[in-house]
Parts: sequence; C-alpha cells; structure tokens
Amino acid sequence: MNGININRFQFEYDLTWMSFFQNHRGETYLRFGGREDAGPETHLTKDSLIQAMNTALELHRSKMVKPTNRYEPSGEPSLTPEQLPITQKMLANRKNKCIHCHDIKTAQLRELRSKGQLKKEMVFSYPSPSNLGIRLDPVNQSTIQSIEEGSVAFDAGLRAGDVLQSLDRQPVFSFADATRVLELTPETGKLNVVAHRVGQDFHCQIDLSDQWRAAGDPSWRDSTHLVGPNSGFWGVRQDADQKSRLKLGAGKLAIKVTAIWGKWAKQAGIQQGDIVIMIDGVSDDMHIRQLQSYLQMKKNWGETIGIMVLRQQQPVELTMKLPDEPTEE
Amino acid sequence: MKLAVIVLVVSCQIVASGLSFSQEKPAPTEVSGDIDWVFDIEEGQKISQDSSKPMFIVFRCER
Repeated sequence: MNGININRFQFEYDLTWMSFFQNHRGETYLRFGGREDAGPETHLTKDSLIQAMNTALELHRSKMVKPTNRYEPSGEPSLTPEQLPITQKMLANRKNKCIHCHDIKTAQLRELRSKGQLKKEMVFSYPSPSNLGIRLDPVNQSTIQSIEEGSVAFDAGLRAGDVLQSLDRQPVFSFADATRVLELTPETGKLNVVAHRVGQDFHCQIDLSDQWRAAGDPSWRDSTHLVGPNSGFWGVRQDADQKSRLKLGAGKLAIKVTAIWGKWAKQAGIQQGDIVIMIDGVSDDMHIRQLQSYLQMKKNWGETIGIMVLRQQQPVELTMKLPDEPTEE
Repeated sequence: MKLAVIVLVVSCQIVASGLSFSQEKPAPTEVSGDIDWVFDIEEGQKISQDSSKPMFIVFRCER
C-alpha cells in the first residue's frame, strides 16, 4: 500500500485481496472482492470474476460510473499510509518497508486506541449482507441466493431471486459493492433497498437494530489482535479420531499446544503437547484462531482466566493472567 | 487475444511517486502468468485513457 491514496481506495483492509474496476479518471464501475466469515473465497472465484469483468465492460460501454459520493469518494485530499503518524512508527523498526493492507487498519485502530476511542466491535468493518439475512449469490453477486427467514431483510419483504439494484440509492453490482454501503450504514435506522423482481422494481426498507454489524466469526480478521489479549500459545485443533481417543466429543474443544511465545502462558504453566479442552469456561470446538479471537473479543488486558488442559491424558487446571497491556510492533 | 481491461496490481511492492519513504520502497515483484501487469496507477490511468479501456485494479497481500 506504499504511496496509495487511501482516501480514494477505501476497502476492508483485513482482506488479502481486493479489486476495483474504474475508468481513467478514477471513477468506479464496481468493486470486486470480499468474503463471508466461512472462507476467503466464498465470493472470489473464476466464474464470479468473469461475471464482474463482463458487468464492468458493460458499464464502461454505457459510461455508467457510480456517483462520486461518500461511498465512492474522489480521494481528495489525497492521503497516503506514510502520512499516518502511527504508520511511520510501525515502519521504523521494520527492515522491509512494505505497508500491507492490514497495516492501514492497524494504524487507524491504534490511532483510535491512543485517543481512548477504540471499541472491540470496530473490527467488524465492511459487514456482510448476511448480517441482515441476505445471502448473495457467489457468481451473480447482485442476485439474492437466499434470505434467512425471520431476519430483518425477510421482514422487509426481500426474497430469494430478487436482484439488488441499490442500497441507500447507491448502485450495487457485487458483494463488495454491498459491503461498501453497509460499512457506512449506521447501527440503527432504516436502509433503503431497491431490488428487481419479475420485471419490476421492488422498494423496501430494512429496519436496522443495535449490534447488527458486530455479528459472525471475526477470527479471520487480523485486526482482532488490537482489541484484546491473546493466549500466548499456538496449537492445532484435534480431529474427530484424536478427540475420540481422548474421550472427547466431536463438538468439544481440543487444541494441542505446539508453540508458546507469551510469558503469561509460560507463567500459567502451559506446556507444549498439552491439549487445551476448556478456556474461560468455554469447551466448544474451536480452531486456534477462533480461540485467540474469542479472548481478544471477550476479554480485556489484565484479566485472569481459567484453562483446563489434558496432560498425559489427565486433566490439569491452570490460571492465566492475561498481559496488562498490548505489545506494539 | 487482447485484454479488454487494463490490469494493475497493487501490492506492497508498488512503485509510486512522491513518497516520503522513496529511498526505502521495496521493488516491484514479478507476477506469474501471461498478463502484463502495470504496477503504477498513474501509468495505468494513462494507458486506460489512451486505449479507452477500463482499469482492473488489484490489491493483493503478499504476507
């Protein structure tokens, strides 16, 4: 991201891949990229890219760019990552001066933390339409594949097969277009939706309630490390056979510790080879990133938690005092 | 077959002008495949204007 105008290219910086179709003036036809929590390629496939390219070419031929507004800003005044004071601090100790996408979000959230304004739910940026009950088709991404019954989108009247035309009057052609509008949509209020249904436009309003953004599994988001402490160890989720040999159900937590880096983990008595079967009273199945994000999202710096491990097949109870403050790069 | 879009890849290796870290910028890395990627947005915009083709701008992480 070195030298990139981040006032022009605003997107989910936790992602590892994102794209824009623009004209030579920098006006946007559509965005392509993004993901559901389930996986990095839920909406990122060869077929969906071909579909997006065809749509972009059609828009280009028709000269139909998105309006320049808060959703698709002009990029003026220009701002590069290097101009963020926190980025400069981050780069000072880095041999390779690469500024990664996730560094931008890290810098933005650290800036908020330095002002005492950081909230844990801020990691849930660019929320998926599925948070509202809308599952978009992976290929034809403006088409609604399914609507969760009882969701706010269902209550608004949207149904599977509807083709989104706009959200808050902003044209939507892709999953990424939808998440861009949702990123700037408030916690409460109404979201205007226009969809195409059997040859006619269907207009509705989705009622937004508290916490609709902060939903789902944030474990893929690099930014969770900013909002809370981690366990200080790494491990591998045990498979069903391994759990069976440990007399654990398939839905139970079982992570074999493979590396320990945090002194708080060492002080707690965690050892390599331990099988973590309960953390902070939770024994539901998780992989190690989910365990880390559980702590980061649910616990605060300096808190104490209980951990139960199996060591030589015997349960051992441990107490871990999480670090008092974050360590910075 | 000629591509219908101008393709740009933007990663931490991008070469851009006017950077405060200009002396420390990492060099662009090659992208495998048959596509001739452009690593500079301003250059891409110029090609886009001259050819009347839209740009496909990609941000990818190489961590």
